[in-house]
Amino acid sequence: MKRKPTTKSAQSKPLTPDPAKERFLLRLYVAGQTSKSMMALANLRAICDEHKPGKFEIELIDLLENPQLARDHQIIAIPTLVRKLPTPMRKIIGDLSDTERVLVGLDLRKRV
Amino acid sequence: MPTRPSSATAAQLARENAGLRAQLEEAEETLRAIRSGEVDSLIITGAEGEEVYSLTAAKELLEASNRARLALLEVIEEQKRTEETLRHRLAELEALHQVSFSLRAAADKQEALPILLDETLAALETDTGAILIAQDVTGELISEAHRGWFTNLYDDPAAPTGMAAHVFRTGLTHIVQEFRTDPLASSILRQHAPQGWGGACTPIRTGDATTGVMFASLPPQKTVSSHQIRLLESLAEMAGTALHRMRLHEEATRQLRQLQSLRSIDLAITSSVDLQFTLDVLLENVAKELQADASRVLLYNPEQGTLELLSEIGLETKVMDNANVHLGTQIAGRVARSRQPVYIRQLEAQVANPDMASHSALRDFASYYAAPLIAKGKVKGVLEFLFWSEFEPNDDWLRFMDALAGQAAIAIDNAGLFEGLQRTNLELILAYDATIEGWSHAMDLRDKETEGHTLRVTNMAERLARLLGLPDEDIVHIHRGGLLHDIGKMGVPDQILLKPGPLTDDEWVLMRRHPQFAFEMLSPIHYLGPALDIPYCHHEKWDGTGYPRGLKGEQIPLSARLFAVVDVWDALTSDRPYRPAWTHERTLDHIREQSGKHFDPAVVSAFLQMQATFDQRASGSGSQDPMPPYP
Repeated sequence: MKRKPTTKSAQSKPLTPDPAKERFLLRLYVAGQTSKSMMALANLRAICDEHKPGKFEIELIDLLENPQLARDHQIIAIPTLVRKLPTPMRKIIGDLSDTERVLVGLDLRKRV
Repeated sequence: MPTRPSSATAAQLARENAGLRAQLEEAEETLRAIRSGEVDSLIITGAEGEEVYSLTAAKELLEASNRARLALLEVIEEQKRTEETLRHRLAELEALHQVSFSLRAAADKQEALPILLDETLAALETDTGAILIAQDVTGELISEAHRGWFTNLYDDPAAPTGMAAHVFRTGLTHIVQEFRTDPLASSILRQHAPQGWGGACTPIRTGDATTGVMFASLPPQKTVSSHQIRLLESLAEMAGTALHRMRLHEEATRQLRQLQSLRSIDLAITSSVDLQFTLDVLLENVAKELQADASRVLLYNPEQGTLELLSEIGLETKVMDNANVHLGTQIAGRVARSRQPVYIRQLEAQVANPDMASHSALRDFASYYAAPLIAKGKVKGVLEFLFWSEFEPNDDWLRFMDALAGQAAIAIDNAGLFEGLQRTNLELILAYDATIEGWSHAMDLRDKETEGHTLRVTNMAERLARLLGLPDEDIVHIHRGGLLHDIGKMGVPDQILLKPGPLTDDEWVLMRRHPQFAFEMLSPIHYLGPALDIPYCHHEKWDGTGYPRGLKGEQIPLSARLFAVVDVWDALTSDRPYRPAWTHERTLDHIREQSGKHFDPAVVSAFLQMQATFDQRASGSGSQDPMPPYP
């Protein structure tokens, strides 16, 4: 897999405090095209498309190519989704198959 | 984790606390994700920096090894199964071989079936089973061999065979979980089967036809395995083949035997004119080939309308004393009259039958069969068969019986023909002899002088011939030759034959031609051929001076030589117009004197001996008058 680590957040806009208008900057750490990584990406896209499309910006980091990038967010397990924005930073670990958990983790829905 | 300064403010503490909680949550979240299998790689930070460890790779490796192990187990299992199958096949082949080997020693069905059963049961590792075979005529399934608890069941030949009959009919193996509860089992079978015994019942097949069934039963806790069923079926199939082979062999042997029987009867018919002998041979074969315990041939007498016992075998003679059967009064009579066979399976049941009442001899027998003997459309007699135990004829039996009855009829017919021929012959002979006597009597009438001479010399010549040891068949010819000895004189005119005075030389020439005349007259009559010697040669002399051919010594037939002596004796001892009769002494002297000249010395000495015997008797009776020694 020759995918380069992407940092598409380069053009990120200034943060707005209004949660309705706030943007989400998400980073998904994967390690090559493992089944769990692919599943996490697919799940994430599905969740983003369903909930407020256009609000999300997703960075995909392949740690197989650049393992040292794990250091940024002290990634231990792969796949791991990091919500860089809005702060505070949040981590959701796993293949994101539990949509409810993802929504809660991203603060898109209140914990029950 | 940042160290907490001792002079931390509450806000600081609260922040720290929130950070710690977040870290804890993250750790918990990580663990959960790992546990729940949502994570497939871990980042380990080592001396070399961060490295990715793939969990799935490890898992896959583990799974692969697991799969390999399972596959290996499967291979081992498969191999075990193959080995097991091979072992069973081998055992099966061994059993088949063993049975086949044992069967080879068996001569017939009775010997083969117990062997077959024992070998089969041994192969199935049990000792309980049975073989039932469908009987030829009735088709009933009868146990031919049984072991174990089947013995108690099938010792009774009338035991029901519901399950066997079902298997026999369907041609399919029936597997029995337990005989006691099997729906096909008869109540008797259920009674005899011990608790827990199961097994199977398989058909014994020969090609397309089923000939019987085989039972095998296993003790409790031993269930019949599929390979045992297979083995049972294989052995049953082999049994079928073996039985078929034996049946063919038995059939061929029986047919060969029957052919030999027919041949020996044929031989008896063609080589013997004695009907009794022929029928004895026939009945002997009847007993052998038709399994009859007794048999008899009754001959039809058309003149009296009765059947007469001609030949019997296996019956007590006293029984046969009043064996003549009037047509229509007894079974045999009925057979002869109706020309139809009669078969009585149970004679006992016929005791009340009036036909049977006079047939007491047959009452001790169980079954009876009688066939009419018909040749050239006529009833010649009746052939009867008796059986001590109940008997039922099958097609094969009837076929052979028909052949035998046909031969018996031919034998009787032949014998009748021959006897008729013999009778005709005898009548003809008697007629001939009467004719000859007529001729000789006519001769005597013509030549009054010699009246009684012909009979006297003929009788005397016969006696002398017996004394000389001639056989009876020659004496017949001497008798006829004697009667005809002067038949040639028919060719001599009366004026010469009856001339009172001596004959002239010319007359003598004619007179001496009478033997030649006799020869010419009689030689065309074939049956008088052997009798010709006397008329033709009785004027020949031992020394060769006789006529008509001047034969000498033993050239002259013996009958003529002895007749010459007798003829001269009778002529000399009789009165003639030209001389009185000579005394016995004088005549004997003359004969003695002519021995070796006119007469054969051997004949003369026999004649003298005969006369001496006669003279002794004559003097013994007190008679002085020399009487001729014949009536």
